Formats: sequence, structure tokens, C-alpha cells
Amino acid sequence: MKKSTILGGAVALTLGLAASGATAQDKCGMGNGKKASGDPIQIGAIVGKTGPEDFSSSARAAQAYFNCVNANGGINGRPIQYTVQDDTWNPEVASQAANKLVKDTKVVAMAGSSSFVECGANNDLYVKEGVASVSGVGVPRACFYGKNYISFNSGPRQSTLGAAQYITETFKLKSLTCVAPGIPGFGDWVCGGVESYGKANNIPVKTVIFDPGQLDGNAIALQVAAAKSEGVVLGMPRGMMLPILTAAEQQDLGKSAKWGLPTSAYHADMPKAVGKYWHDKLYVHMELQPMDGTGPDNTNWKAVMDKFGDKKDPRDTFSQAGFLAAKVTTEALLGIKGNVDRKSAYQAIVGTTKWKTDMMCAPWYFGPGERHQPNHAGRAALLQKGGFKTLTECYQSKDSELEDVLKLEAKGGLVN
Amino acid sequence: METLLPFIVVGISVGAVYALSGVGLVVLYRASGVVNFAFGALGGLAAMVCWQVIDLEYDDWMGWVAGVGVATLLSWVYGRFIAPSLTHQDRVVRAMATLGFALMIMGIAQWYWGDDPRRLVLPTDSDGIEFDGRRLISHTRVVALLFAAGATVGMLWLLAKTPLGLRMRALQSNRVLAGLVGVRVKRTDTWAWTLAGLLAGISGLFMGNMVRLNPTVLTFLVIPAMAAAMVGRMNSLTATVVGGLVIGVIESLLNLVPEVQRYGSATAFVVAISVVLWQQRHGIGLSRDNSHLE
Repeated sequence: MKKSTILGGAVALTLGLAASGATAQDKCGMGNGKKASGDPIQIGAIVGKTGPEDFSSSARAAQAYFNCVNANGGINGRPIQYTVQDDTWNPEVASQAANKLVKDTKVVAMAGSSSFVECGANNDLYVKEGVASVSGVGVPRACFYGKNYISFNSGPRQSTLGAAQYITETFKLKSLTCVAPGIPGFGDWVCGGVESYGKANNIPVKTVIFDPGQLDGNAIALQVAAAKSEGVVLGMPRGMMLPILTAAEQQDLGKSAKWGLPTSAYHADMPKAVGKYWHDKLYVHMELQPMDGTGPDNTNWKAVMDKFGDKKDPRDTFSQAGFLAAKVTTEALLGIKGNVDRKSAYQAIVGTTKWKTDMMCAPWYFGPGERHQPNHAGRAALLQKGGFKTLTECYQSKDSELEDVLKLEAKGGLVN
Repeated sequence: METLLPFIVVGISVGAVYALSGVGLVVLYRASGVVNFAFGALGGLAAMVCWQVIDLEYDDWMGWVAGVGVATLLSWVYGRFIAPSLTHQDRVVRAMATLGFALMIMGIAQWYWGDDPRRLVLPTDSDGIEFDGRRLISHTRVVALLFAAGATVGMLWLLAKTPLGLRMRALQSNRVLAGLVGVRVKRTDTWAWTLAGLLAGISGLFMGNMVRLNPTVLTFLVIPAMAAAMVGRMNSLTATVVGGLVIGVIESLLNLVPEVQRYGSATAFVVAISVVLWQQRHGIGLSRDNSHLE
């Protein structure tokens, strides 16, 4: 065989492999590479974009996934029209946005929402109108106590407890302090998980609930110092953590206690933002797979974000959750035989059980429950210079509030 | 008292920045009669620009100069080109115009920098004042307090002893008569806006360091600053400084009372309303309203 033929064959093979690899990585929906052009299917989301913190990462990932779906045949030829509304962290605005999406836009389902206020404001509406909402990120308690509302994350209560569990059991801690913002349905509920864990294990827990509008982290750090606990967990969005960590650093509290953070701290920029004082001192709970995970769905998430998302879209746990919400919704819609409308979409989404993904510790399900919390296990990671080091395999949250969920799962048919 | 002392010290340090911001608001109000709602947004922009320059690995001092410089420049632009066209509008309209300016700055900054976690580190962070065997506050907070005191003394001196201060006081008394006797109204106003921008930039750097490096959060720094200025009746710099410190200390002390701790950010409103009511009862009004003479 001539040398040039061998070389040509090798080049062709390499290009072919590269092409097939790329296709496999950003595969979405029907994956046929044809642009969808039929009558659009309406899907909506509500996020808390403007307000104390930007909570739109989840819907931005869902948007990227739906863009990918539309470029790959849509839902049997019909494109998804994805409408995202900003609730500005205001329940009244969230209610107006949901009414607009449900009654005017006539969405068949909601997917990728992420908000501090919309669950409490809209759970009843979704039930009344027969709309299933597969949110990316549920934040307050109401997001885990709605019949038609489900999330892919395990929520701040489970994640804060996950961090508390890890530091307590690894370092044999004898006391804990839980710090959370006094947002209705959030702060007390989040630290309540740590308190119940402490009670069950005979570990005293001091809870500090602060005003989220408070500008200075120093006064909070002073209370943490006064508690003299061996472990501290901060149950809050990452933006609120930074001034507290800065103040704690100035008071050198990183040496006197072990610090645990929920998944909101699992963000690529966090190691740089907290500074070198905190490197190798912060233990972070991860609700989904590590960002550098090499499983097929995680690889697909990164590829879809790179190709169909914006460069500025965050690559964090909430983005992973939004991607999964869009993926499960798409697959449910693709499974509908006949017309895709709200009723058929609801049945398809609620009927999803034993849905496996490498991004979660256990299969995801919707099912008939009165409330939903399919994600209640995660991993622990250590914040280091330049990134995070995964420390554990999946472990279950030991929250007494999960009793009903575990009982339902034990009946079978949802997870296995 | 041992329990209270750390909270008082911490409260004074953050109150110092409220005071510094309040001084900026009062100086502008005295000269031009405008309540500047854009003060916090300018400070937020200064902090973000400073962070950006340092993040690009330029020297720290370049970041500080760039941050404060941008806030000062924008305030000058507003004072030189936008504010004059609103001179004959109602006082409320002029205040609302600054609110629009604030929302514009905040929106652009939020769009450009987003909500990624960031931190503005100052060299004075690395050391601090010790209490009971551990560090209580960083030197940055001490520097902020010194800046607040320095700005107050500097502004008092400027108003009392310099030709510019004289012109500002003339405008405060009667803008029309001041103009008739030769005071260059537009130029004096522009100076007041420039000084306000400078103080906004400096306050923004401190707040970006002490609080959160987020344009939206820093924009709302104007609320406690406004409350401090209300304590000073938008007129007295000394009372404004005292107001800022009192708000900071009360906010901090509320952390010791779990029942009200989660409502600490209402302190600024409560203090401002209480002081205004008390002043009304005792016949003390706001700085003389000369808008009818404009």
C-alpha cells in the first residue's frame, strides 16, 4: 500500500472519529441534525434573575439544551419555544409570570425554573391547571412540597445537612453552628435539617439566622466565633457566603472550626473568590456529579453548553440541574404517542420513573406522590487552589424529613 | 460590656462608610439641591472596575485609581451635561432623574459582570485590631473610619474657607441671587457633582471589600447613606457622620437579639423616620428649600 494512501486513510479515520465523537457529545432529543420547523411546543420557566442574587443558571442551561433539541429534529419535527420569566424575587411578580405562561402562552409544561419565591406562589396554580413543573433548582421548602412541582437538586436543606454530616462524621465534631438568611420558608427550614441531625446524634447545634439585607458579614462572624462550635455550615447562596467568609478570615476562624458549604459554593470561580486562606479548609457538598465528571450525560452537558449556550452561562451545579430538567422533559415529550398538549405532557412527565443519569447518585422519578424529592444523596468535595477535589462517593442525607419519601420509594416502582 | 464591645466596634467601622457616603450626598444636596440616588450605583461601579483592573493583573493602585476615577468621571458627566438641563424642573423630578441614572449604571454593570463570585481584596485586609486574643476588625475598617473623618473635616474646611465653598453656600442660600451676583452656577454645581463622585468611588471600594462585590447590592448602599444624611437634615455634615455611625452600631447590636436580628436592615429606615419625626416635633426642618427661587 502506498504511503500516501495509508496517510489519507488515517486522516479520514481521525476526522471520522472526531466527527462522530462531537455528535455523540452534544446529542439532544432526536439527534438527527435536522432543524425543527413545525408548530412550536410552548414550555416555560420562572427564575429569580434580578434581585439579591442571579438565579437563572438553571434556565440558561435548559435554554441551551432546547436549542440543541431544536437543531436536532425538535419534538418529532416541532420546535420547542422556551419562554423564561424573571420573578425579581417577588412572589407577586412570580404569580403574574406563571399566570401569563400558563393561561396566555399556554405552556404544555414548565422546565428549568429556579426561584426563591415561585414555588410558594404557584404550586396551587400548577395543580389547578394540570401543569407539571420540572424545575432545575428548588430552593425553599415549598419547592419540595408541591404535587406538580419537582426539582433535580436535593435542595439547600439536604445540601447544608450533607456538608454538616461530612465534617461532623469525618472529623468527629462535637458541636455545630448553622448560619442561614432569614428568608421566609428558607433559613429556619435549612438549619432545621442540621438541628434535627444534631438532636438525633446528640450534637448541640447553634443556629444563626441573619437579615439577608444586612450588609456586613463581620457581625455574623462574631456570632459564629461566640458560639465556639467545632463545625460551621453556611446554608445560603454563594454571594451571601463571601462577606461572611471574608469576615471569618479576618477573625481567623478557619483554624478554630471545620467549615462546610452546600452545593451553591460548587462554582468554578469560588476558589479564586474566597482566596488562598480558605484553600483546603472548605468542605462542599455536591448535589450532582462533579463538573469534571466523565459520564455520558455530564460530558453531553458540557458539550451542549459550549455549542448552544452562552460563554457567560455559569457552569455549576444549577446549570447541570437545568440541563437535566430540559432533558427529562424532552424525553417525556418524545415518548408521547399522538398530540402533544398539556394533558399528554403532564401524563408523560409525571409517569417518568427509574430515569437513570450518571449526573445523579440514584435514578430520578416524578411519580404520583403528594410531594417530590427524588434527589437526596450527594458527594463531598474539598475546595482547593484552582478547583475542587472530590472526597467521597455518594452518601445519603440523614434528614428525618425524608421519612415519607423513603417510605414511598421502598414500595418499589419509582427507583427500581 | 465585653459582649457588646466587639459588636460596637464592628458597627462603627461599617457605620463609617455609611457616614462617608452620607457626606457625599449632603455636599451635593447643599450645593445643587439634588438628592443623588445614583450614589450607591457609582460606588458599585467603582468597586467592579477596581476589581477588573486588579484581576487583569495590573498593580493594585491602578485599580483603585481606575475605580474612583470612573465614578468621579461619570458623576462629572452627569453634573456637567445632564443635571443643568433639569435645573428648572421640580426637585422630585431631579431626584428621580438620578434614580434613572442609578438603574442604568446598575443594569449595565450587572449585565457586564454578572453574578459570579468575586472578592475585592485590599492590602489593609491582612492585618487588624485584636480583641480578647483574636482579630476583631481589619485595618481596612480603620482606614474607612479615618477616611470618613477626613472627608468630613475636608468638606467642612472646603465649605467654610475656600472660594468654591463660598460659592456652594451662596447657591444653597439662593441660586437666583447667587447667579445675579456673579456666581458661576453651572461650574459650581459641576464641582459638587465631581466631589460627590469622588466620595462615591471611595465608599464603593470600601463597601466592595467589606460587603459583597456585586453591583446590585452596592447600589442599595445608598439607603443607609440616605438615612444618615436625613439625620443631618441634608445639611449638617457632623450630624450626618453621627447618623451613619449610629445606624452602623444599631445594625450590629441587633445581631445580639435573635428575635429582631433578621430585620436588622430596617435600622436605617427606623432611625431616619424617628429622627425626622423628632426634628419636626422640635421645629427643626430640612435644609432650606430654595427651589421656588430657582
